[in-house]
Amino acid sequence: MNGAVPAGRAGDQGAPWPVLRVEKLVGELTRARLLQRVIEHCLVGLLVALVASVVAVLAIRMQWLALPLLPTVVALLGAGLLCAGATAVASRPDSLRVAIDADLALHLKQRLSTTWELLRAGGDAGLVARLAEHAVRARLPARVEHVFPVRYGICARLVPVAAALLLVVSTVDVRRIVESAPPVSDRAVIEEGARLREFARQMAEQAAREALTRSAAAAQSMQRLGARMESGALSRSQSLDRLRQLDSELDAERRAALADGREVQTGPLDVEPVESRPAPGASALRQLLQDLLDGRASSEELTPFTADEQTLAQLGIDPEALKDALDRLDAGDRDAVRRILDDLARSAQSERDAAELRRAQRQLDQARRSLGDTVGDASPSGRAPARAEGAGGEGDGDGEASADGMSPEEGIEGAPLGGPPGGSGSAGEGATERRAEAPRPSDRTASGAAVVRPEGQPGEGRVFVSEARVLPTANPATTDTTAIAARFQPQLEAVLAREDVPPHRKALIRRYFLNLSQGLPPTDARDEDQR
Amino acid sequence: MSQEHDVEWAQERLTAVRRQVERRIVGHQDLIEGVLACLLSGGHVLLEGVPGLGKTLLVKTLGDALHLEFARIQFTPDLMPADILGTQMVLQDEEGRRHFQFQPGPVFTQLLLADEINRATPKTQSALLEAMEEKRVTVGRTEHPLAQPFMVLATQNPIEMEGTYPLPEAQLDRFMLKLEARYPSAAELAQIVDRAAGAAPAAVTPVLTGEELDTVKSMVRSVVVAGHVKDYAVRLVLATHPDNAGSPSGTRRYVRHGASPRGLLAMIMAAKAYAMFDRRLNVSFEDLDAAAAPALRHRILLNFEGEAEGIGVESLIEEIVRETPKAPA
Repeated sequence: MNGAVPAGRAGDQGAPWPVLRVEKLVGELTRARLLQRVIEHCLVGLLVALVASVVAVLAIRMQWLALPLLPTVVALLGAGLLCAGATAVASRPDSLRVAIDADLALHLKQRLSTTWELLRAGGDAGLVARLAEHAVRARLPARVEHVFPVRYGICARLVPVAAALLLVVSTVDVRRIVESAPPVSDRAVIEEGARLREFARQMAEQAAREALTRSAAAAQSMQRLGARMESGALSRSQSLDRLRQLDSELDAERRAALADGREVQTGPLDVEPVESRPAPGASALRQLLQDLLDGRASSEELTPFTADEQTLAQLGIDPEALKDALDRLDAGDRDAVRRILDDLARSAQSERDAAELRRAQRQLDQARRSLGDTVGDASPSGRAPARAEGAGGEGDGDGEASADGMSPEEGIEGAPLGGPPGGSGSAGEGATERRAEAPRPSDRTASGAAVVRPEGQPGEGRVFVSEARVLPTANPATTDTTAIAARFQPQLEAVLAREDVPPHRKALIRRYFLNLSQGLPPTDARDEDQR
Repeated sequence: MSQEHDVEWAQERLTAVRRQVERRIVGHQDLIEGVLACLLSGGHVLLEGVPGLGKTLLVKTLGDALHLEFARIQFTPDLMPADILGTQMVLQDEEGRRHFQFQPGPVFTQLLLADEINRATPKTQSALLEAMEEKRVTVGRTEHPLAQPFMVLATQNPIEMEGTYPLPEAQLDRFMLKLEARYPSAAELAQIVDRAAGAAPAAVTPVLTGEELDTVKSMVRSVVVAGHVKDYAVRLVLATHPDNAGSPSGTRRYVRHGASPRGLLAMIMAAKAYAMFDRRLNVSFEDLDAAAAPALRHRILLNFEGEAEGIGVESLIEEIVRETPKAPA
């Protein structure tokens, strides 16, 4: 106990019974107060720990935290209770303070605290004994628990609520509920979802007809995303995120398709000159080769193709290999030509696949624009939504404007910045960057000279404030004095007639006021009078 | 006789005194307690109330009950110090020789009622107040000690202030308590009529001698004031000062000067007497609360704003008692 009584003074074992009773009572009261504090602190600690556990469980359920559920909850609850208990014990109440509080609680008129203070200070034993007897004679409590009852405040009432909440979030799969529940009913998202799903359905049919495997898979993904958007399960921002993600995937697929078809590494879309534009003579070459195999044509008919190396390069056919195949066909070996024919067919299919994927990407772009995507420039394909606007619709095929707002010919013209079209694959990101640095068409003057647009410096301009004080200037009166004078004179005569004014002074007074009414100095009248 | 028995005995004696006083005085319980507390603490009382409330009768009855000598001075503007203190008289003996002899004034008594003290000139007031403080009178070069116990009960009429000389603050501080005689209730008025207009006034028997009174006074001084109770009294007095951080808003706004350390002592002593009345050996917070108004009301000076707004010192003290925490933080 904090208030240790000095040996040999009041409070000895041989002390009178009232003193012993007071000692015992204060000890019990101190313990009761400590218990009260511990319980109250623990309730607060438990509540805090429960709330923290609820938050932690939610975070774990939503997979924001990678922690085991049960040990985390147990650790939090244990830590909360431990901290609360330690705080309560550390702030152990002083026995004198307990006696003061007990006095106030029991209306003992400071009998107990005064006795205890003297007892602790080792005061006069006789006086302490008399004070103790007075205190004992007063209404000392038989049960100390009633003096310091545990107060079940708001914390105690919130603990069961928090515990129930913890139980609920521990047993229910919150993530699934959150994801399945329509977070918002965004009409634009729903409409775009429906549009996307319908587009994907048509794309899937097309892919099935033409056996386009990549397009079929992409159509499925788009269909799923469209269905989720249509159901309202995704918010606008979530939809945009998924659209961007899908766009990125389709872009990768499209590149792969192009790579399959041309067996080259393609660069970004802006420098893919023949992406959806099959080489002009591809079908004719295929038909000729087929006729050649069927014996309906001769090798001489292929001469224009074998001489046109540029077209063959666009078709991805090595001229030497074609010549060799024709030679072998003449020798009776048909396999080489058949392989070229197969390669051409596969290449055509891949290109068709890429075109379909490209069309799908435009659809995604359109959906993103409708949902107000402001990060369109950051799309993986490097297509800005505004540029895609110039595409002039979906699936226009050859001759349509490319996604960067230029005609296919312009795209081809731009290609040399990165390398020849369909060439060695040197067209890549670097080409895109260089294109980005080049002046835009709109930034050129009529003569074609580039317009230099220096970048501005954001910031606040300087402000100048000046204050001037100007003395007022005299201004002429705005009231016409003629009108006033006309009224003034009859009034003056009336006053002179009414008032008791000496006759010889009347003229002076009349002149005085008439001077005033005409703006003349009144002294003139006096001077005149004096004269 | 053990001290415990002394407490019982003292409480019994004091109850007897109160009972004797109540035979003549109707109501005024707080006034009787305050005057007794002042008597037991060795202080002086300033009584304020309109005429006819029984202030003089109270003091006279108290003198009768305590077996104390009683004198009354009606203060007037022409009253001189010598009229109170006494003067040197020239006397002639049988042989025809003349010599000075001191003739004691009415101040040489045990219970002195200074009626309407604010009607005398400051010079006369000062003479009395000096005697109150020093408990002796010096005339010429000779000191004349006053009788013990000595207590002055000065009265003031709060409504007739014209032609008066209000006591300055320093003089007011010499009064331990300032008690206010309130107007009696209807029932008390009826009782007053029965007692005064009926048969002969009730006789008051002395129940406490001067020696017994001294014993009770020493016992009152021995009442214990615990540290935390003393701290509360200090907090109360500090709360009367406008520049104190813990003072209530009313004090900070309306008070010019707070109570002096003498006010703290007066409050503690009065509280000890109240504890004795309650048969306790220790002072409680309630005793201090009860003593706060009588001990502090004449020691708190309002500022211009307080005077202009008619703020009562009583309400400020009530606010101080209400807002000052009893238990230490």
